[in-house]
Parts: sequence; C-alpha cells; structure tokens
Amino acid sequence: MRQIRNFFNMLNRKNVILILGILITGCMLLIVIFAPHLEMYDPTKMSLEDKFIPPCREHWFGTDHMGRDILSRVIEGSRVSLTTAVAVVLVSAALGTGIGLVSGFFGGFMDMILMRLVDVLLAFPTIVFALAISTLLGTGQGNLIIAICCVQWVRYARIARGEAILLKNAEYIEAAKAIGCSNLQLLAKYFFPNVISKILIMVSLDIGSIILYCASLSFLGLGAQPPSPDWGVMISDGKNYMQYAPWMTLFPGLAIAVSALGFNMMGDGIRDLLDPRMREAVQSE
Amino acid sequence: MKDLLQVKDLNVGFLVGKREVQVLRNVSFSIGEGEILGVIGETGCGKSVTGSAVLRLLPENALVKGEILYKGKEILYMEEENYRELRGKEISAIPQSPGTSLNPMMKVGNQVAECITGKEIRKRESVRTAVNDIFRRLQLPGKDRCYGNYPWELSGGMCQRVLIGMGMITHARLLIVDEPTKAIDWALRKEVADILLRLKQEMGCAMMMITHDIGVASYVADRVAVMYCGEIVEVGKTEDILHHPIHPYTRGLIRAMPANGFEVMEGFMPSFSDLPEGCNFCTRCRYRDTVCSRPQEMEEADAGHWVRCRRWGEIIKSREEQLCS
Amino acid sequence: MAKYIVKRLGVVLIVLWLVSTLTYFMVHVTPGDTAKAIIVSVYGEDAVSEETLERVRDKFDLKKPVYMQYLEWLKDVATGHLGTSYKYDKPVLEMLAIRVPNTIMLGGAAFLLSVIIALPIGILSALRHNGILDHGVRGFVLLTSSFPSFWIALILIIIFSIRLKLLPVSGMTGAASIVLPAVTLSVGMIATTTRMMRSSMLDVLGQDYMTVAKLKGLKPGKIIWGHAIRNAIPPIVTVLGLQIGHILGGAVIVENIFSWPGIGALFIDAVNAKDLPMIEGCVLLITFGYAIVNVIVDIIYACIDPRVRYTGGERA
Repeated sequence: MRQIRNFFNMLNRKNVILILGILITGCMLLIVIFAPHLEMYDPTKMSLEDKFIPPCREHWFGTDHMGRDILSRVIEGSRVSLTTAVAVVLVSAALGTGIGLVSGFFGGFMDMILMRLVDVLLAFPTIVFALAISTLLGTGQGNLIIAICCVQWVRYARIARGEAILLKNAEYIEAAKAIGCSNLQLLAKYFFPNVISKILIMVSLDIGSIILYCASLSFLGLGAQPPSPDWGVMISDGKNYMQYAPWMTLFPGLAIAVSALGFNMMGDGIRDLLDPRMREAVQSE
Repeated sequence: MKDLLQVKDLNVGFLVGKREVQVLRNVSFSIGEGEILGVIGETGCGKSVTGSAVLRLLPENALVKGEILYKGKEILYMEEENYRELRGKEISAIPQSPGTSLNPMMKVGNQVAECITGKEIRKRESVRTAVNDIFRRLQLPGKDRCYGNYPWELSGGMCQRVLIGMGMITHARLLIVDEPTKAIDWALRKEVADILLRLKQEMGCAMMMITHDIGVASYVADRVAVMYCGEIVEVGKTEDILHHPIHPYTRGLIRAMPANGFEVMEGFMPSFSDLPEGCNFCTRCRYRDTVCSRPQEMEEADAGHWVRCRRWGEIIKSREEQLCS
Repeated sequence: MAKYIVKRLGVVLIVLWLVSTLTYFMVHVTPGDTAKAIIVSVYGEDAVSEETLERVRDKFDLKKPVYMQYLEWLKDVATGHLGTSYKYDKPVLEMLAIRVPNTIMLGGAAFLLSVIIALPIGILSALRHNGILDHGVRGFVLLTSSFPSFWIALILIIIFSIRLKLLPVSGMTGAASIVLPAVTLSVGMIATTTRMMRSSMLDVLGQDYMTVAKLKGLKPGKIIWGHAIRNAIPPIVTVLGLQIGHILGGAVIVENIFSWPGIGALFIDAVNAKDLPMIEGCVLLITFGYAIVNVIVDIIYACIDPRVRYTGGERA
C-alpha cells in the first residue's frame, strides 16, 4: 500500500511527462477498443462525388481521393497500426529475451555463433534489412511484423545476454546452484525476474520507434495493402495529392506522431522514475 | 598565533523537496597560520560538508548561514570571481579519492602545471621544472618520467601524491585535506602522513585535515576537533583530546581504536532528520542526565580545551576517581 | 595502432561476407519463379511465356543449382563483379557508382547539419541542467523522435515547395534541392545526438576531477573546454558512427520521397522490381559503407582517447 502511495507521490511532483504519456496512451487504447462506435462514416465506403472535401463540419479531417472520411479511417487505422506495433514489440522482446538469456546462461559455442549473428544484424541499418526481408516474404501485415521482428529481437537479446552473464557470476546464483537448483529452475526463478524489468523499460522506450518503423514500411508499400486504412498507407496515398489535399497527409501523420509521442513520453517517464539517481533523491524525502 | 581561518556559527542545511535538513549546527573553529587542525568523526557527521563550505563547493540546494573569514576577510558570500582568485593560490585542497579526481584524458604533469598556468603567465619550461621538482619531492619517479603519464597508468598511491602535488605547487596558505588516507593501502598510510607533515614544515602552510582515522590525525595534527551529528563536540590540543578526552563521544571513539581495546560504542549515529532533544549524543551516553535534554553549549574545560557537554565537570571527577581506585 | 586497424578491417571483411551470403540466400530462395519475376518486372505480365522464361533462365544462369550459383556469385563479388541488373540490363556496379556520390553528398550534408546543431545544444543544455533550454531540448527530442521522417518530409514539401514555392519539390537540381532532404534526414539524428551529448556532458560534470579543476581556481571557460568537453566528446564519436547507420537507413526513405538519385532510391526501386542483383548490390554497398565508416570512427576514437591508444584497441 505504502509503495503504491509513494509511487503516486513521485508522479505528482516530477513526472508531468509520464502522466501525459499515460493519458495519451490511455486515450489511444480507448480509441482502439471503441473504434467502430466512434466512426461517423464507414471507413471503407467510397463515394466519388464526395472526394477531396477539405476539413469541414461534416468531415472534420476532410475526405480522400475516393471520398472516404479521413477521421473515420484514422480511427479505424489505429487498430491496424497500433496492433502491428505492439505485436512486433511483444514478439521480438519475447524472442530476444529468450535467446539472449539462454545464450548468456550456457555460453560456449552456441553463444559465440549467436553473438556473431547479432553483430552482423546490427551491422545493417534496420530499415535496409527489413526491406530486404520483405522482398523475400512479400507484402502484407503479417510479413511486415515478421520482417521487423527479425531485426528487432537482436536488441533485446543483447541486453538479456549481458544481464545473464553478469548474473551468472553473482554469488547468490552460486549459492542456488550449490543447493541443487536445476538450470531450468535457475533460469525461471533467478535470471528471468532479474532481466524482465530491464526488458520492460526497453519495451516501453521502443514502442514509439516501432510505430514509426511500421509506418515507414507501410508507407513504402510493404505492410497492409489498400484499402486497409493503415496510417502509413494513407500517407502514401496522400503523397500523390499533396497539392490539392494536404489534409490527406497531415492527419494520419499526426495520428502516428501522437501515438508515438504518448508511448515515448511514457517510456521516458518510466526511465526517469527508475533512474537510480532520481529514485534516490525521491526516497530521501 | 594569528588566525588564518575563522569559522563562526556555520549552519548548513540541504533543501530536499520542500524540507530543509540541517547538517551543520553552529560550527565554530579557527585555524592559525601554519597550524594543522584535524577534524575527526564518523562518516556522515558533517566533516566533509564543513570542508566543502570553506571551499565553497556545496551543491546548489545547500542553505548556508554563518561566517567564514580568511585572513579576516569574509569569503562565504564574496563574488564567485573574487573567490576564484583565492582558490589554488591561497586556499587549496587535496581531494579524497585519487582514483577519480584526476582527469583521465590529460597527462598528470599538465594537470599539475595547470594549477600555475591557470593563475599566472609563466614560461612553459619553468612550469615544467617546477612540476618535476614537486614530483621529486613527493618521491614520484622524477626526471620527466611521471610528467607524461596518464592517471590510469599510475597506481592509487602515485595518484594520491600527484593530487598532493597539485595542492602544494602553488604554495597555498591553507590546505583542506579531505580523507587523505581513505583510498590508500594501510601500509602507505604513514607515508602519506609523513608527506603532509613535511609539507607543513617546508612550506609552513596551515591545514584542515578531515579524517576518520584518529591515528593519522594524532600523528599529524596540532589540534583536533571532534564532530558528531553536525556539531563540534570537543576541540583542543591533540594530546589533550587523545589522552584526556572529556566528551563521552570522544572517549568512546578513542576506546574504539584497535590499540585501545577495540571497544565499540553502543548504538548508531541518529539520522539528521530525527535528532534527539538537547544533546545529540544523549541517547547513547552513559552519563546521561536531565540536563542533557536541554541544548548544550561549548564550554572551556581547560585552557584551549572546549567541550559541548554540560556535565564535563562530573565526568572529569569520575575519571579521576576511576584513576585513584 | 597499425595492427589495430588491420584487425578492424579483418572484422569488416568477415561481416561483409556474412551479410552478402545472408542476403544472397534470402533473396534467392524467394518463393515464386525468379525468371518469371524478371520478365514481369521488365516487360510486364503479358510477356510471360515458356519461351521467354527459357531465354531469361539461360541469360541469367538460373538453371544451375542454387549453391553453384552462390559460389559463382561469390567469386564474382570478390573480383568486383556484382552482376547485371535484371531491370535495367546494365552492370550493377556501374549503376551504383553513379549513385554513390549523390548519397554521400546528401548524407554528408545531413550529418554536418546535425553535428553543428546538436553538439552545442547538448553541451549548453547540460551546463544549464534543468534550465529552460534543458527542458526545451527534452521536449524537442521527444517530439522529433515521435514524428515519422517521411511525414516530416511531406509536410516540408507542402509548406516550402507547394505553398511558399521556395524550394524544389524533388530531384537533384542545383544547391537548393538538397535543403529539404538534408533537413529531413538530419532531424532524427539531431534529436539522438543532442540527447547523447547532453547525458555524456552531465556524466562528466558530475565527476570528481571537475571539482578538482574548480579547486585549482581555473577560469570557468577553461574548466568547460579543457576538462568537461574534452572528456565528453569521445563517447559521442562512437554515437556519431552509429548515427551514420541511421542516416543510411533514413536515406532509403528520404531519397525515395524527394526522388533524390542516390543508393536509397535505387534500392527501393530494386525491391519493388524484384531486381535481385541490384538488391544484393545495394545491401552490400550500404553495409560496406557503414562498416568502413565505423572503422574510421574507431580510428578517430583511438586518436582522441589516450586510453585506447595505450591498450591497443581494447576499450576499457
């Protein structure tokens, strides 16, 4: 109980950013859940006489080249874009943590091979690699997720492996071994809980940039295919009509930015909260 | 003896959140020309804060009250730029951790030389000679051998000596030495203490030596001040403090020295935010009485021997009785 | 030092080999018929017939087993032959060579721009920790790391090219045309570099030797230049090296939007056309560039940090 109260005290004083981040993310979550109820128009319904209407009272964000309501599409798109990003982060974090832990824990030949692989993957600019994988897999939502995961797991694996190696030499691990814990027990009871907090911080910091990655790749035409109302795809559509209908580009981009900003602020705030120096200052109060 | 440094009623608090935590209360002492004052006490008793206050290195959230006079001149509130002129030249310091106090990207010789070149314009050659001269006097490998080394190429003891070199090369009148033996091997302790003593004899500079090592303090210092919970509880000549301590805390400290039987005091130092009424030591004191719950003043028990304990008379008496029986 | 460089170059070679092998197999086990893909990408769907398929298979050596193709390809790459583009029917190396200077120009401009802006701001905001500038920087970093670069590019085009008609929309036409792509490319890097510079500087400012420098009575300017910045820069050099990777990645998107005739645009083009030799060539080139830049960065690091020189490259 006291811990929870302390947590909120800390929030009040220093963490406007964290609170804002949580609020924005919370709103996004509500939008994702209640999307169908919030849309005023059918996001996929075309009506050619309504095309290129600038933002007005009937269409707050205007309409696109096929007369579809952009606000409704942006709302519907939150489901596509945000779930993609969250899926990528969860899959790659789980994969990376698992591989990193095992690799660091057992060491040896497998560890060496794995870390060389990590080095090679890190030698690529992320997007270039994801694009190359997309060529292999073809376009589509699922393939996009796989492509980014292929690059992203490496980051988590590195952290998890580093932690595992540090832990391996800790005395209480020696002690646990001495009383006969099996490797599986060690991993589950000691290594995993120790690594998970770091991984979670990374996840919270990463979601923002993953949203951007996903959007970039869909913008390039590798993710969800039209007429699916993905934000990246919408901007890519808008690109062709920049002269007459800048709102087609503007609003989906803002949606990406706001959701990425929400996650970034939350991640930043959490990091601040867990930064030992800051925590010390707060605790001594 | 003329007073070089006078500290009068120094109060320091730190602003944490919206509350102020008082860490120094009415600290007063003086250091004469060429005198070494040892300031001893446990970790966290406020002795380093006192040193930092004199050097004006307290963090921004510190609230400082009181007076610090150097050669009769107020230095606590003077302009930063004017105080900077004093730093190094008049008041110098030897910091406590040799491992981290040297810039890893700069040759140690240049770091020492900087103390001079930062202050006055001198020929590069003469500065270099001066630095090498200091290194030789500190028994560091001379002849330019050490000058070009980086700090991480030297051992801890050597780094400590480089730091001492920095403190003394400008012939400052007052040297604040913070825990000179903290990060050093037991075996090197006496060596450093000897260097400090020689420094005083050769250059005649005064020192404020902050340490928790009573052995070193008694070896080097002319006078000793004992601090407890942000207050000076006893101050006097080294032999008086060491052989005829009055304040129960001082007596406890001395009894706790390995040479005197390793008898450790009961209890712990209370936290600054949670001090007892009156005498800070009363909760751990075996001479506790009703007067102890009232504020204690410094009283002169003997010539130049001051103590912050109202019951000093009775304590001396009981000590004499103990000796008689 | 020489030994150190040779060792680093050796690592680059190994990474290149692994990367090339990886990409080769990745694109060559592509589902679907490669020959068909070639025909579709060059002549369109209608041209696919048994006869054309056969001709293409002959021409591009697609009949042999994959591992034979790989070995031959590896031999070619090692001797500098990157093959022939399916789409343009020209040597890949030649096409890359024309494009490389453009990408270097764009990336260089973005890099310079971000360094010139990021380093001073990072240093200042650390010096005035928790001041207005510091909070401003934090806000700026948060904002810029939340906007997708392709969107920033489009908005810049809408504002500066379409509305204000100040700068060209796209293409490489004179000095003005580099402004928008370079600015877009540098935005993300400015944010990261500023943040890193700030935290590195804050780290240094908290060190004991900074107190000692103050104790010496040095002038504030000398303390900051001689002690603080001198110590805060080396970690930033490494960060800058990693940023080059982001620039290369960002160039892929930015060049595509601004039709800047660089490697990135060529790469996207190749991906869309399934132009395998071109994809491999681009990936290889980008990796090579990135790896070489990082070797250079390591050498610079060794030059400015005596600790690396001393231990011969094993960073403490």
